Amino acid sequence: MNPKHGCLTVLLVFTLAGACLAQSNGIMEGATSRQKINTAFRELLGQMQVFYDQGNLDSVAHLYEAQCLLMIIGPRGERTETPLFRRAKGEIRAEIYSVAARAYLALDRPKEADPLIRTLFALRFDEPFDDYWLSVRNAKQYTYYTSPRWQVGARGGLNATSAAPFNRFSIFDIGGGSTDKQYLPISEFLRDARFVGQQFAFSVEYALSKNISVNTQLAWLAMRYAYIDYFQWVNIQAGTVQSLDIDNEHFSRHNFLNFPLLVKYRVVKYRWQPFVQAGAFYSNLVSATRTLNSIEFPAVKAGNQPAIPLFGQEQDTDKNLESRIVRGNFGLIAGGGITYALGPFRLGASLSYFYGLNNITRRENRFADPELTFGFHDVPDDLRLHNWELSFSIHLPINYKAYKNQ
Amino acid sequence: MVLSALGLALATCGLQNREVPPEDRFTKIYNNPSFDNITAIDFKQTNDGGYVILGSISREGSNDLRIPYLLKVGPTGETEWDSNLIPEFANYTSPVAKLKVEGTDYTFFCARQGQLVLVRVRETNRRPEVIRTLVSANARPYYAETLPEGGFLILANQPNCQSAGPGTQLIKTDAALNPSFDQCYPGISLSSPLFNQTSDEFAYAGSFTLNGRQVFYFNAWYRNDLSLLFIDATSGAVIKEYTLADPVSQAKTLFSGLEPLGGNRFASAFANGATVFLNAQASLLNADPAQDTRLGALGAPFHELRPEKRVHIRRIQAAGREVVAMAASARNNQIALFLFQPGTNNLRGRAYFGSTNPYVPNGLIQTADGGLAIIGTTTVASRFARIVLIKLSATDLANLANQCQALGLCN
Repeated sequence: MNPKHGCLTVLLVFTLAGACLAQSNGIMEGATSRQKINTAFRELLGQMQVFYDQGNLDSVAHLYEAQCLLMIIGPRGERTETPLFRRAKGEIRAEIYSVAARAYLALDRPKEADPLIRTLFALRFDEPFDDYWLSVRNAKQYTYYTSPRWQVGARGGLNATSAAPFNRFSIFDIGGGSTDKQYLPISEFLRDARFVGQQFAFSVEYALSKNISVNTQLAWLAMRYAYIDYFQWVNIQAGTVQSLDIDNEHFSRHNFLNFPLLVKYRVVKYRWQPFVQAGAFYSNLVSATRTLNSIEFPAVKAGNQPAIPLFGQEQDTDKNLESRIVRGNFGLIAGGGITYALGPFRLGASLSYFYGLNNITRRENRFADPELTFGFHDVPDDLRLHNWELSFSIHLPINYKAYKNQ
Repeated sequence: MVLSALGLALATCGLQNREVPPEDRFTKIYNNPSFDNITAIDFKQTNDGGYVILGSISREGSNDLRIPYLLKVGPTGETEWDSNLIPEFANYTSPVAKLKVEGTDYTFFCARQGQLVLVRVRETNRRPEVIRTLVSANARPYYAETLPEGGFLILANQPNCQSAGPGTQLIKTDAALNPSFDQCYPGISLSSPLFNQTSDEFAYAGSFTLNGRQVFYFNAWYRNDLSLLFIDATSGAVIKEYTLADPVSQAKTLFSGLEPLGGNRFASAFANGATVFLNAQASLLNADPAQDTRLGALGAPFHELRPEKRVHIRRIQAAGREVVAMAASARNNQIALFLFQPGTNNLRGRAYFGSTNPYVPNGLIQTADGGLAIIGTTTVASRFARIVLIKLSATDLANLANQCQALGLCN
């Protein structure tokens, strides 16, 4: 090493050590300390650039290792950055990484250059690298891929629910042409807006690798489903047929706080990034209500004459269902979607299927509600809820990470 | 991650879902697609854990002619078969409690062409067959108590009692169903205006033994009031009548339920005017029932009960202790169930069944699993009477019997 450079190195070490000591003694605090650290590393950067311009690449590497890395060597030969260097301004660190990485590449030490390039790309995720040296440009273009590491955002959309009974219960022993509890199909939401559920979520996503990330959410989930009963009574007497038909619709609204945990695999080659996702969810019941709509259709028919409809009654009744529904609902999720990078944001759309695994009916309370049981002759089946969710999302990356292409 | 951890934490307290076996607790209403009215009369549990229910059908437009209706249900209350489409049942009318079950043979009293007949229905062919004809002079049965020693104590209306006009006939059969007591009481009528008004439900009979003396009792219209009569089982003489009409207010009074608890102890329900009094520690004053003045002691008033309805009383076991269960009709059309501690008349627990539609109890039994079953009649579609079976688990019953502990009112 050039003695002049050695002196500068010693000076810098003393400056940095002084800053560190001052901080530990509480002499410098807050912005003052940070400014001194930045000043010290800016001076280090200047010196590294001087060495680089002079072609003294070993000194560049030496300065970087001496001032920015701890002496402790990890099990795989890696060295951790010093706390002071970590506290330095990102732009200064990026410049230091840039100079050191170029030096390492020129010295044919790609292993040492790799972490510096990754961090450089992560720090300057949104900058064009057209003005960079060829080696870095090539690395940016061919060797590395930069993507968000932490993202936060929001997600909202619509859902359609299907209720899947697996043990049927009825208070009414059905006779004649009556039917009990026919669950309406999931396609009902296309016909009737009441069946369209909604969801809204705050979302956090962490990239485990270039393609795989973990996403978790705090979601408000409103699910809608219904079943219908049909009862008929007939009296035939002296050629006259009297009849009474009753149609009941039990329309249920369940609101949950939903906690999904998803693993996503995304194709990262393009600006439009399709992904598939799978995971599990736990939902905590917030509210459960039901509207029972009951319509009577009395009629009388004499001989071959057409039936004469009489005037029946119709009534709507709202009921709280919380005592009948378990608080916890859990299950599996599978789905897919696509995201698009628009400026700093990631816009997305996804379609997911939530497959409930547990029985949502609180069995010990099956017959507990007197009004529903004795008044409306309704007892709940054991059932699971499944739903399709169409969601749109917007995420803002908090930071980035560069991954090496395979 | 934090949110997911929070979710998992909530899951531990949110996923508890205790299984209650379907046969332990259920409510079942037995519908029929006709306009007919089907009313419960009595029921018993069968050896297979299910239930056999005796009721009656009043066909629409048939002048209230009540045809016997037999319904067999499984342990979870699901219908196994009923007599609705068995044409032979239409040959009989006026079925009465109680239903007797011996294995898969079900017997009950009803009328056929003016005769009082004991009908047996076997599970194998499900057809009614007459096994005894007891009275052949246009008698109408009102009640047939099953006696502990076997046989029945039958209460029937006799239009020509001892050639002295209408009266009440009391018949006791031995275990072989041969009459061992047959007495007609002219002037004591089951066909009173009050009975007509209340669907004959206060016509009940039974027996008890005190100091080696067997006494029959029954409710009938006697001396201008609905009276409880004690009959000497040997001589057939009326030895005591509780004619309780208030001479001042002329308020209707009656024993709307009575259950011997052994010795001189009884549980009683007593309607005094508009109020029903329940008493699980009623007793006779001394060894001679004829001299008693105490059975009419009122007990605790329950103003929510309907005085014009029968109270069904059973001694059962709940929470490891003997309790007296009473099922009554509440003014809000619910079935009210009360559990009393015999001897102290402490109310241990109460529950109400029913909402919107009227629910009336017709009987209750303790089930083989230690639970309780109540048979009743309700109305569906606001029009048609149907049978309802309510089953409580042993745990439900124990919780009910310990309600007073939770309130600090008993031990």
